[in-house]
Amino acid sequence: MGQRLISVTENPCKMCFPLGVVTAFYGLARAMNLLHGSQGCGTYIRRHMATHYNEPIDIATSSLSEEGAVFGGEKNLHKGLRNLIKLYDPEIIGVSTTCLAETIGEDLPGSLKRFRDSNPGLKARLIPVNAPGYGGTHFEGYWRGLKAILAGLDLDPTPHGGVNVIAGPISPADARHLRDVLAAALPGHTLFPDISDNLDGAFNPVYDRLPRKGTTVSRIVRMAGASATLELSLFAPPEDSPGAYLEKAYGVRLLRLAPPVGLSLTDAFMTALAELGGVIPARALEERGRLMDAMADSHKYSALGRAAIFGDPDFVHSMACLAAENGLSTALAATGSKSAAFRAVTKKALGPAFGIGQEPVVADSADFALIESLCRKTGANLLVGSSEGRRLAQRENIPLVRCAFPCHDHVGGQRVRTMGYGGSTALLDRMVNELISAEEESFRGELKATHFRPRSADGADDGLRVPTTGDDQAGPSERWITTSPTFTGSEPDLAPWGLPGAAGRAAAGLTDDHPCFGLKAAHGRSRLHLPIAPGCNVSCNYCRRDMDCPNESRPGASSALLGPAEALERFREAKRTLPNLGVVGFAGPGESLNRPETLFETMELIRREDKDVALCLSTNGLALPFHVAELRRLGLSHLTVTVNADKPATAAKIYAWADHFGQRYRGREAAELILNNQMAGIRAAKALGLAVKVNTVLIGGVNEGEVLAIAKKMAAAGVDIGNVMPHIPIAGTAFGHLKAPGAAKIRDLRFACGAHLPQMTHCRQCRADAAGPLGQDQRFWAQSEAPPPPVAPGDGAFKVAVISKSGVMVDSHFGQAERVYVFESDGRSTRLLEIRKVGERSGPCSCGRGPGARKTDKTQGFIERLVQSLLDVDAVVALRIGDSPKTIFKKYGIRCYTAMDSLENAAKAAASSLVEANSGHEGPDLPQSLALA
Amino acid sequence: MPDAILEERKGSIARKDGPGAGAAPVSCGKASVSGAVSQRACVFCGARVVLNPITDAFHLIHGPIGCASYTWDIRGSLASESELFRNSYSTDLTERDVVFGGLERLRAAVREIHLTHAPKLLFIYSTCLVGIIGDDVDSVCREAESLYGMRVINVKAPGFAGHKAMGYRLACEAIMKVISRRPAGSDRSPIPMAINVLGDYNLAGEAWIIENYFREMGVRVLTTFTGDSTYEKLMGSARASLNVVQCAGSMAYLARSMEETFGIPWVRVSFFGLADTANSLTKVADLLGDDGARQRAAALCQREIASASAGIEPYLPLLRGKKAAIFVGGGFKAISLMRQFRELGMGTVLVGTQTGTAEDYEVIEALSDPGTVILDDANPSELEAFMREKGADVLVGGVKERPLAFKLGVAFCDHNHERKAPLAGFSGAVNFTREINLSINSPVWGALRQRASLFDALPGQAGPAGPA
Repeated sequence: MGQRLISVTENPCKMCFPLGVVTAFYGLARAMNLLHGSQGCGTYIRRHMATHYNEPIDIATSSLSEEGAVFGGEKNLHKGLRNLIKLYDPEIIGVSTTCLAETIGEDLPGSLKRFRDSNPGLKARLIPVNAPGYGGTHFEGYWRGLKAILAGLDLDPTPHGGVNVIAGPISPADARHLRDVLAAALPGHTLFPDISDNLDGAFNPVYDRLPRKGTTVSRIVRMAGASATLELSLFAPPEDSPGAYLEKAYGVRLLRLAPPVGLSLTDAFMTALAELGGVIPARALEERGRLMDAMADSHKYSALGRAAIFGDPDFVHSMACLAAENGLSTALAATGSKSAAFRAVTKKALGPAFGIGQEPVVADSADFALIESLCRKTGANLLVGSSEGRRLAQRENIPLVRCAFPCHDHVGGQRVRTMGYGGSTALLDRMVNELISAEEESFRGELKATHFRPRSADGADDGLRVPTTGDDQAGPSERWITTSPTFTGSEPDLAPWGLPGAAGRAAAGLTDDHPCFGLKAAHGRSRLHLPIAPGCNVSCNYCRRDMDCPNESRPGASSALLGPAEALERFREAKRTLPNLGVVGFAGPGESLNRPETLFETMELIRREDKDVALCLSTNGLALPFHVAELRRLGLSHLTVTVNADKPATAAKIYAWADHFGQRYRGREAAELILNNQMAGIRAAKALGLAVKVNTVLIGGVNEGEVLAIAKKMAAAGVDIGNVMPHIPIAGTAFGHLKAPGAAKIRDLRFACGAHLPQMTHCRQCRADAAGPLGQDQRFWAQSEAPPPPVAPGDGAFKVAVISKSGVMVDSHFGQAERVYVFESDGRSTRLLEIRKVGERSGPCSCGRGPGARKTDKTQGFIERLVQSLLDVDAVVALRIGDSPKTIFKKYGIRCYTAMDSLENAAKAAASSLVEANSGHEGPDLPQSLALA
Repeated sequence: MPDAILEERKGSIARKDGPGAGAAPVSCGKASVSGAVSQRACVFCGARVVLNPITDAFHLIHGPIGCASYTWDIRGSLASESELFRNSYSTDLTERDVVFGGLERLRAAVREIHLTHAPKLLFIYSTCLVGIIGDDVDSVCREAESLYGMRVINVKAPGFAGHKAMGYRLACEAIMKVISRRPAGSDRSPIPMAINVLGDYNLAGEAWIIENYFREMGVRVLTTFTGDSTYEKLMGSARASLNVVQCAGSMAYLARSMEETFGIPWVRVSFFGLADTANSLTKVADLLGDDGARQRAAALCQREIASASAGIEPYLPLLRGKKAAIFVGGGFKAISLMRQFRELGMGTVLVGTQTGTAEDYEVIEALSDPGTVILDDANPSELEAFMREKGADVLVGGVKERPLAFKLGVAFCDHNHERKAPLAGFSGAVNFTREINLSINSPVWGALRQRASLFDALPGQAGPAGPA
C-alpha cells in the first residue's frame, strides 16, 4: 500500500444504492426486484448478496442495450416486467433505476403507468424507485426503497392503535429476533420490513423461488393508521426516512431509536416498547440478567480492546455504544456513508476510555485505505465489521469479528445476532474471545522477548528466541494437492465418504494390476491366458469352439488344451520370457467352471509358484454361485462374466441349452437359469471383494435393445467395468448369417452404457491362449489413450488432416473449418506437423446440418478451395463432412472420417484404420470414437 | 403456479433425441431476455476480469462506486510479486459529477496516482455512466501519458454495450495497445523455444503449475496473459515463437491480433483433464519442432499421469453413475467438463453455457446422453426445473448458482473463478475428482432428503410453516 489517495476511493467501504433498495424489498412478502439498466448490475448484486446470505438471489434486469440507452428503454422494461410476472407471479415489484436509466432520463413512473394501462388485469403492484448508483451508498438506498414502498401503495389511514416498527439493514437473525420480541411484547404491531425468512430460508422438501415470507402488503397498507412509528435508526436520511414520511403525510407520531445492540440501547428499546403500551417479556429480562453477568465476567478482557469498527452508520454507532459500556475502547469508528450526523452523534457517545485513553477517531465517507491507515495510527487490536476487512486483518494481523454485511469468506453471515440482550451477549463473547486468543498467543513470547536473556557457555548473547508453538510441525493442508500425489498402502479404511482406504481400492479392483480392468489404459502389463477348459455347460448360438483360427483373435478359440501340470510349465516359461507378467487368466476355450477341479488344481499350482501374480477368470456365470467362494480362497482377484441379455426371452434366443448338475435345460428355462445364476454369482463375487467385469456380446438384431439395461443392472450390482463387444459371425453357427455390428453402433452403445457403468474401450477380444501386453500379443506394445508415446511416428506414417475449432477436440464441420491440424501418425503415435489456416470462414455449412445449412455458391467455392488445399493428406477427420467434399476426396483415394474425440486420438485412430486397410486385414471394428464418413 | 419456462426462451432449450432435437439447435448469441434473470454479466465485467490479474498495473474504475465494490479482489488470481491489483480503485462519481462531468475528478485522480504509486501502466475503465455523460477520457489519457511518462489506457466498457464477451474483446484491444508500443531500436527477433500462455488467470496458482511443465520441457514462458503478469513481462511478450491459448473465449482475439501484428503463430490447448493436458504439452513441443522437448514432455506426462491416475482411482467407485448438471461461461469449458465427467464414469443430464456458439452446442449434443437438456443463457427457474426433472446429483456453476443447488439438495462443484484449489494440469485432475466427491458424497444430502419431511405426517404436529 502506497500513500493515501484523496481523489480516488481505494477499497470501498460501501456498496451501491440499488443493492440497498433490493435488500429492502426482500423484507416484503411475494416481492421481486427489477433493475432498469445493464444486466451486469443485476448479476453483481446477485452475486454479492448470494455469497453473504447463502440464498438464491433472483434479480431481474431490463437488460438495457446500446439501443435502449440511446432511444429509451421502455420496451425492454415492459418486456422485463411481463417475463418477471410470468416466471415468479409476484404480488409487488420494486422497479429501480440504475445509473444508466437515471442518466438517460427514463420517465419511470410514466412508463409504469403505461404498463398498468396496457395490462388491465395486472395484479402485481409496481413500485418505482429512483436509485442511481451515484445517489449514495446501499445504506441510503435501503431507506429510499422503504419510503418508495410506502409512497407507492395506497395506504389506509384508518386509525387502529397499532405501532409500526421499522428496521434498518440488519441481519435476518436480528430481524427474526425483533419479530419474536415484538410478537410477545407488542400485539398489533407491524414490523417493516422483515427479511428474516426470505434471506435466511429453511431447507424445504419443495423449493419455492418466490420469497413468500416477510411483511405483507396488507400490513403495510395499515401503517398509515398506526398510533406511532418506532424507527430503529438514527441516521436514516431525513428525506427518505419512512417514519418521517408517515409522520408528515399521515400524522403518525415518530420515535427514533438506535438499533438495540448492547445493554443501554436495548434497555432504551424495551423502555420505548413499554411506553408504547407493550409488556416487556419475562424472557427478555432473564436474558438481560445474563448479559449483565457476561459483562462482569469479561470486563477485564474487554479492557484490553481497542476496536476499529466499520460499516453502516447505525451499525457502527450501536457497536461503539456496546464497546463503550464494556470498557472496550473504540479506536476508530468509520462509515462509508457521508453523514455529518453520524460524526457528531457517535463522537458524543464515545468518551476516551476510562477518561485517560486516546480520543476515538470518528470518520465518514471512509474507504478501507483510510481505515487501514487509521488502524495503524491508533493501534487498533480488534476489527468489528464486514468481511471486507479481512485483507486489512491479514496485513495488519488484527483479529476480525465478522458481524455485518457482507460476509463473503465465512458461512453464517445471515445468522449473526447482534441485537437484544441475548444477541449482545453472544457478540460480546465473540469480541472478547478474540482478545483473549490474541493475548494467549502472544504473551509468552512477548514477555520472554522482553525480559529473558540467554546464558550461553561462552557468555555470548544468542539473541532473542521466541518459543515456537509447534506450528512449523504442521504439514500443508491435506485437502488439496499441488504436486503429484503418491499413494501408499497405509491409508485408513474406507470412510463413509471421502478417500477410501486400501481395502476400498482392492474391492473396487480398478487398478493397474490388470490390463482389462483399467478404465482407459492397458498400462503395458502382460497377461497369460491358459487354455485349460475343454467343454462347455452352455451352448451359445454364436460360438463354434472347435474352429481353430490363429488369425482371428476371438474369445475362446485356442489351439491346444493344457492340463494343470502343462499349464504350470507354460506359466513358468512365460515368466521367463514375458516382461511384466502380472496376470494369469483362465478364459476357455470352453467354460472354465465346467470342470472346476481342473481349474482349482491349476490355480493352486500357480499360486504356490507365485504369490503375487493376479489370477483372473472368464465365465458364462452359470456355475459361478457355487464356486465363487473357493475361487476367492485360491486368490482369484478379477472376474469376467459374459452377460448377453436382460430379459429371459432374449436370453432364450441366444442360448440353445444349459447343462446344470446333470440336467440339460432348454429354452426359457435355460435362459432364466443362466440369468439368475449370473446375477447371484456376480453379487456374491462383489460381496467377496472381487473386481468384476461384465462382457456383453452385441448381436445385431438380437440383444441390441438390452445392452443399456444390462449395463444399468450391472452397475446397480456393483460391477466395476463393462465391455460391449461386437459379435463376430462365424459360419456354421446359428448366428453365422447375422451381420457384424458396425463400429458406430458399438461406439454409441459404449457411450450410452458409460453413463452408468465405466466401459472398457480398449478391448482387443483376446484369444484363450493370448500372451503379452494387451493388444500386442508379442508384436507391439499397446497404446494407451495417454500419455503420448516417447517416440515419434516412424516411417510409413500417414498424414491425417483433422478439422477443429478448439484445437483440442474434433468439434467442427468440414465446411466450417478455420484451421486444419495436420498430423502424421502410424496408428500408434502422432506428431503435429502443422496448423493450416484456411482463411475466412465461408458462412453457412454445406453438410445439410447446423444453423443456416444450405448451399450457396460462395460456400461451394470455399469448400472446393479447402479440398484442394488438403489433397496431400491420406485422411480427413471432421465432426461432419458433406457429400461433395467426400466425393472429391474419394477420387483422390483420401479417406474421410467423422469423430468426436481429441485431435490426437482421432488422428491415431484414422491412421490405424489406414494401416489395417493397407495390410488387407481391415476388421469390422473401428475405434470407438471414429466412423467412416 | 407461475411458469418455469418463458415462451421466448423455448428456442434456447433443446433435448438430445427429444422432440425437435437436431432440427432446432439452441439459438445462442442472442441478447439476454429482459426480466428473465439472466446469469450473464456485463461488458465491464468481461474487461475487468481479463485485465485485472496484471499485477503491477493500476486499475482505476471511472464511475459510481458499485462496479468497484463488486469487483474488488473478486477472483482468486495469485501473484508472485506486486499485489497492487488486489485493491479496488474508483473515482466514486456522485450526483455533482453527473451534472458537471467527471473529467476534473479523473484528472486529479490520475495525477495523484502518478505521485503516490508511479505505476508504469494505468487502466481507466469507463463504466455505464461515463458512456452516457460523455467524458472525454481519451484526452485525459493522452495528456497523462505525455505529462507522467506512464501508459494510460482507456477501457471503454459501459455495461450496456453488450455482454461479457464484448468486454473480453475490449480487454484484448487494451493489451494490444500496451504491447504494440515497443521502444525504438529494441530487439524484435523471435526467441526460440519461448512462448506466451494466453487465457490463464493463475487461479489457485494454475499458471505456475503449467509454467513448471513447460520449464521441465525446456520451453520458456515469457508471460502469461494475464495471470501473475507484469508490465515488463507483457512488454517482452512480442518476441515469443508461439502463443498457446488456454481460455479461447477470452483470448482468441488477442492471439489473432498478435499473429497479425507480430507474426506469432498460435495454437489452442486445454489443461483440464489428463489426456488434454498431455496432448497439449506434446502439441506445443511439436509446433516448436524440438525433439528434445517432445521427449521430455513424454517422460513428464508418463510420470504425472501415472501418479494422477493413482490419485483418481480410489474415487471412481464412489462417483460412477452419478449425474452432473453443467452451467458455465463458455462452450469449450462445458465440453471439457462433460469429457472429464465421462472419464470419472459419470453422466451429464443438463448442459448450459452463457456464451456458447452453435458448433459448441452441436458437440455438446453429440457428446450427450439421450434426454440431456441443453440450454443457452439459462435463468434460475430453468436450472431449477431441469435439475429437478433430471435428478442431477451435482451442479457445476458460478457462485450465484451455488445457493440454488443447495436449496434443491444438490451438490455443487466450484469450478469457477473463486476456486482455491488448482483444477488445471495433472494434479488439477485429481483435485477436480476430490472436489466432486467431497460434495456429491456428503452425508448431508441423504439427511436432507430423508428427513426434511420427517414430522409432516405426524398427527398433532404443526409441520413446517406453509407459505404466509
